[in-house]
Amino acid sequence: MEKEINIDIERLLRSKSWSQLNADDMRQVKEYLSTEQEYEAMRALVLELRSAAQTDEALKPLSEIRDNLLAAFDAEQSKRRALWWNGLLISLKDKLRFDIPAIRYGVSGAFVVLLLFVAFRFFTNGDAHPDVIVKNETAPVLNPAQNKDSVANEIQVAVNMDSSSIENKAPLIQEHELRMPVSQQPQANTLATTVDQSPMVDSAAAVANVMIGSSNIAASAVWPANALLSSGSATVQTNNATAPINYSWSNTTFTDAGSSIVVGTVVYSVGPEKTRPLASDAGLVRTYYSLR
Amino acid sequence: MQKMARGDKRAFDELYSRYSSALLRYFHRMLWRDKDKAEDFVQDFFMKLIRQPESFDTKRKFSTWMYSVAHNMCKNEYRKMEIRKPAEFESVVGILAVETEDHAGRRIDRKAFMNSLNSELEKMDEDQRTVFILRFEENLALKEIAEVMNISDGTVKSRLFYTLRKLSDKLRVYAPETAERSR
Repeated sequence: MEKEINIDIERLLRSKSWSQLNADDMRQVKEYLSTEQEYEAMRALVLELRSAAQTDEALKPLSEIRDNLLAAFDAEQSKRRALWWNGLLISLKDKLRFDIPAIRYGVSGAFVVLLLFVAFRFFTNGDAHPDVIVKNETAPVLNPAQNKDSVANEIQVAVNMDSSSIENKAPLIQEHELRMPVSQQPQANTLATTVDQSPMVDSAAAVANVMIGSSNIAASAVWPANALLSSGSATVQTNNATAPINYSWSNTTFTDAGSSIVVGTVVYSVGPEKTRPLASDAGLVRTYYSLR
Repeated sequence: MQKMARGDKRAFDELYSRYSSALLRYFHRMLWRDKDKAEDFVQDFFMKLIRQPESFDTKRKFSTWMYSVAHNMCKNEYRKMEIRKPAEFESVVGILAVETEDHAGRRIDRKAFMNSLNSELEKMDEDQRTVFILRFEENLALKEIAEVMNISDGTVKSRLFYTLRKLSDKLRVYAPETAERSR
């Protein structure tokens, strides 16, 4: 039966030769090793192992393995989705008695309403929901001197603070206020999604759809993970072109009479590939929307 | 890992890129330096991960969990190969011994040393070999090795000590140079 060892022998062997061991080390070592030769032979081995490990050739798996695994991953995910859907359909089938006319008509009616709703949203580009957009017809003017009683005025102050700090950090960005009527302000629903996902969750890819105005100047930006927490660069896909964009993002939440309003500010500058209004010059887009 | 379990392909790819080489190296070392077999095992490991991502305990560090699973896979393989192993291994050692005769100088010493080391390691029991490989090739801390092998820290220290002592005794022929370097 081998004796239980309580010392980290490797650490000693790596750091000290026999002659460098102090009285305490020596007492411990001598419990298990009797001679200097034994100790030095082990030490030589440990040191040799360390340098051998450094020169050992690097092994890489074949690239086919990665390809196979990624394909298997896709297949597994499809299988899981199919299982999920089947489970859902079976449970719906069990719960909904389609043989009862009232249920049959009710479900069909709900489906038609849903379809109409989606079609309506699509053709009106979301303008059918002004209630989720802040009621100001135009974006508030940058004027810190105004009174601060209302949420709207607090928003203006916050925007001013953001603007100045951004200006200090990035003097090359020209700030340009885009004043827009409500119909052209960024869509509330889209941006609410941004706030819910990007700054709070460490998602793999945060997507912010910044829809500005009617469809001919619409643009969407796909931001990398955590992009909305700070500054960086991304790519803006306009209707006609892809352009690099430098941006910074901040948002602030204000609460007034029980409802919260979030102000998100995106400062951007776009590269030379620009072809559309969003890409035509550097500017500041202010977005206003409410969380309900 | 959590993202991968939610079906994020990029997360899986990242996991693969980060750990596949280390895993391949471990399997290669533990499975008689058979690269084809080691690659099969790497693939099997990641297939298990794809099919049963929930088997990963999120409270554990991924690398430690990975070596635990890999360790068990090797143990199963040892059981299967119980009879074939010595014959296969001898043929590998034979090939390596011939290679070393064709070179000269420091490189041949290093190569001969590594061959002898491998040869001696193969003769040891699998627990001693595993502790040695996890410590000196995969650079795991003693605590991590204890977790991977499900044994106490003291047992890890003991196994490491007796393995080193046995190896240093067997490899003494290489000691003069290494001893000189250590001074």
